[in-house]
Amino acid sequence: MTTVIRRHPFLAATLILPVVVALALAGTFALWLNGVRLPFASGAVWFEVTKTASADYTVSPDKPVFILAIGNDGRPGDTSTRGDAIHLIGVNPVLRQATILDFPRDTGLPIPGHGVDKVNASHVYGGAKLEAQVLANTVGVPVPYAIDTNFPGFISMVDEMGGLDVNVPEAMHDANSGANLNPGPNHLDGHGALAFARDRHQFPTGDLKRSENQGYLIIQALAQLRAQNTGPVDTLKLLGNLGRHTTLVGIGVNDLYNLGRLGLSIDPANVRNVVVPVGQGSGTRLNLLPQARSLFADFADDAVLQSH
Amino acid sequence: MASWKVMPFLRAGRGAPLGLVTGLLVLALLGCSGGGSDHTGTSAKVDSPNGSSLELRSAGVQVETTGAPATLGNADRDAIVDTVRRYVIAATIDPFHGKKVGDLTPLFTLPAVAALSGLDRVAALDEGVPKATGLVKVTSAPMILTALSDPMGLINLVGTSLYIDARATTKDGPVRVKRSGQLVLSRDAGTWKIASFKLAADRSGSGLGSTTTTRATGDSSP
Repeated sequence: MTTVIRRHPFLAATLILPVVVALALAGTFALWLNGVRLPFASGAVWFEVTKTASADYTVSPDKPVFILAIGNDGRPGDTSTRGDAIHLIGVNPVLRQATILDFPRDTGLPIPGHGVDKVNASHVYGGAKLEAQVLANTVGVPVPYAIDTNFPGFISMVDEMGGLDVNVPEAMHDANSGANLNPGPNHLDGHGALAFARDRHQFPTGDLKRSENQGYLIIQALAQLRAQNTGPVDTLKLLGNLGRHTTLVGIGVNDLYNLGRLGLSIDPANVRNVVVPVGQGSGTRLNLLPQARSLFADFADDAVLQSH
Repeated sequence: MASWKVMPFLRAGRGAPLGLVTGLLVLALLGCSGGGSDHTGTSAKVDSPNGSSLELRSAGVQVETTGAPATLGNADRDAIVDTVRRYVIAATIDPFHGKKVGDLTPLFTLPAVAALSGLDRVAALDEGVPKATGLVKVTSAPMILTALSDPMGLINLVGTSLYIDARATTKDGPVRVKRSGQLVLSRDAGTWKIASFKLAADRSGSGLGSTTTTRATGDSSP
């Protein structure tokens, strides 16, 4: 054998290299199975959870908590993404009620350091953290957490859940978004759910209706997760799966667990989904209408709408 | 082995690939259980309090990993079982012996204690049961532990199933309490405390007074 290797190093390499590659792949696969983030496994990350509050902040059982959910327009390879789907979720743990404020992406808002610009641009300037700050300033609430997903992450997440059940109110056939849905109950896979969430061209109110549909998808996802996860241990198992596909920024699994328990404690029937009132502004920007101020005040005190 | 020594690319200074492969092979062998790994649990020794018969044991540990591989150590496992044991004593056995439920902060996190001040209390604590005239016998199903590790492989949250069946004889006859559900415990200043729970309690027997809730469910949040 020694002689063969000495005389035929190329033959030796041919024999040994496949073994080395196979073992390396096996090891890599094992790491991936264990959830270790590999630089080239970025496609497995479904979303990013950022804690914008100080490290010692934690969810309180008797105070409302506000979370920003963002769907950005990132596709594989993108380095700069806009936070287009914008939903500020307020949860009241005492009343076990919640409100989703849906912000149209073209809403013009003051962005610290960048003047007034479309709210989705804040994601380009400073990611989920800056977008959360913009919304916090606008609505007048602390936003300690932001959850940010992109197109492939959203698709994978919905597929992992086994799809989402939605009741489509009207036919949705739109080449731009890829929506091709008949009215009535539909079971959507990841691509179908993304198309449902992106369709706007066929609606007279365009992005406003799209924003509302996105809020509706959040509620449907909550209903489905609640049905599948009935207790604290189930929540741990759910987080174990989600956590393997999540980038945590400044947040620990205890925080994540508390958030998960809080969210899953809310009956979807007790969630309001409201599009923030906007009107035509300058150029393609939309302006908040005057009634938005009273909506924010109603929302900010306890995350529940009493007068809207 | 002689042939390994003469392979030029495996000599000292060029041996990194072998080290890498060996490391990966070890990880492959260690890690083939996927995101959740099972560790067969052995019984964690618990003491029975006076005037009662109680045995709790863990049947196994499932670790849900979000990053680096993790294992729940035996000391942590035993500490978790001990917290649950002390909870069962405080919630069920002590009331049967006429003791009032005292300070629960050694057993529950502060948010969970807050939850116990509301409607969830009757599902978690057997206050109001009549006093037992003899031994309180508590049987339990083995606890199946589920641990959640953080990306660094640290475990600070562990959940467990709970099923206990307590029987006592009172002056009015036998009383039975069945409690089932789930608990999640978090590491708290060197110990383990119950951080959230979903419990249901069924109480039956001729000795129960009209003020004792016979059936209750509670789900702390968060």
